[in-house]
Amino acid sequence: MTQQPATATATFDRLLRDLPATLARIRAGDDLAGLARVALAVLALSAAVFGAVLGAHRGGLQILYAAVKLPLVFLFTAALCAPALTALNAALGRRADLRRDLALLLVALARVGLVLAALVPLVRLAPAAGASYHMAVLLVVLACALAGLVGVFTLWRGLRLAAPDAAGLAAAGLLLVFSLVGAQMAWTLRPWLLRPRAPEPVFVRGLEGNFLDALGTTADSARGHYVRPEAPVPAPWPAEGRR
Amino acid sequence: MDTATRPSVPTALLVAFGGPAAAGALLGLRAGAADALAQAGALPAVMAGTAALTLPALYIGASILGLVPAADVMARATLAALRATGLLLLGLAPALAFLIATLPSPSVALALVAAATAGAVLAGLRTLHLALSAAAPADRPPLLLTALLTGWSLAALAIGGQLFFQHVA
Repeated sequence: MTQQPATATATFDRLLRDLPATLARIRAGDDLAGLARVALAVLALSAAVFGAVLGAHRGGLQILYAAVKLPLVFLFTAALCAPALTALNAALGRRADLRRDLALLLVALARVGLVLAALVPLVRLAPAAGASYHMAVLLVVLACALAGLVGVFTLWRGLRLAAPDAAGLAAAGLLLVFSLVGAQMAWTLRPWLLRPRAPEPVFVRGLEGNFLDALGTTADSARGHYVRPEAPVPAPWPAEGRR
Repeated sequence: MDTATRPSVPTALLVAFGGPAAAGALLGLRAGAADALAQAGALPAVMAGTAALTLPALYIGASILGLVPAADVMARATLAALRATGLLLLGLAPALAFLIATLPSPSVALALVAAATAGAVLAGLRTLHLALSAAAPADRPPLLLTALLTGWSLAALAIGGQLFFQHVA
């Protein structure tokens, strides 16, 4: 009797509730395209919902902008990091297969997206609870870090199942690359919440600074230590002088 | 790796030097096409120069200690190590290209390429260690090879680092 391919609903259910079965499917290379489609849809939808909630901090057009941009952050990052994972596997003498590695990355990201979707009420209620703009930014970074931990765990288990040898090294290497690219991608496609002083929503701001510098500044601002007398009004992309 | 899956020598060499060439080109891309081309040649040259300066010492040391049975084993292990280094740099190239294009500071770009090269070289050294360990005679203590490789690796990294900052940075 030939095995029937799992339906999208069953695949989604396993993605959420039965990680070992999903990872075993990747290892066996069983209908990877079907699994990738479901993971991609889950990722796009959950990231869009989380993005919309970020945009709702300002409201209006920013809801749409953030809902479109956040799935792009994940997808572009996955596209840039999948070759790195395959190369890491090959360089460490592990089984290297771009299709399996991409499927694993998408499954890990889909679970990240699901955790972000689960944290939507918390992020949505933050302004109502009196959180300032800077506190809200830190809360979002915290939510993303928590969701990222779930993604790292998924990835590590998937890499261990594929081949236990040097799985930790491969996971650590990818985590480093993914964190750098993901953070910079999110920074490049900002704004997300939009500063209270910003006059109107823009889809993407001009290139300036980097994620880590901005995180330090936001942490200082959340504690009431401002490095500038007032926040600058952001220029729309492309910024003047960079055209 | 068995003979059926082992890449041919030209393919392995292409990957071994294609990876550093890609990373070097990314580093020079902000300054223009001519600089990118120069850096694309400089980084593989640094890798080749470091290998040429340091590998004979490893081979002589390993041979005197009875750790490497024949020159072709050493050559295969070296090629596998260089291939692993190049492959990792090739895989990191898309991520590096994005980061270098969006980060404003040239010094950050240099730090990223240096870190990626260092990581890829470490992966190559691990491959070299595994390949030589697999080929070492069973009657030799494994710690001897590890000690020899650790000392040699530190010297090779120091020389390679110096050449990198002299000719690439």
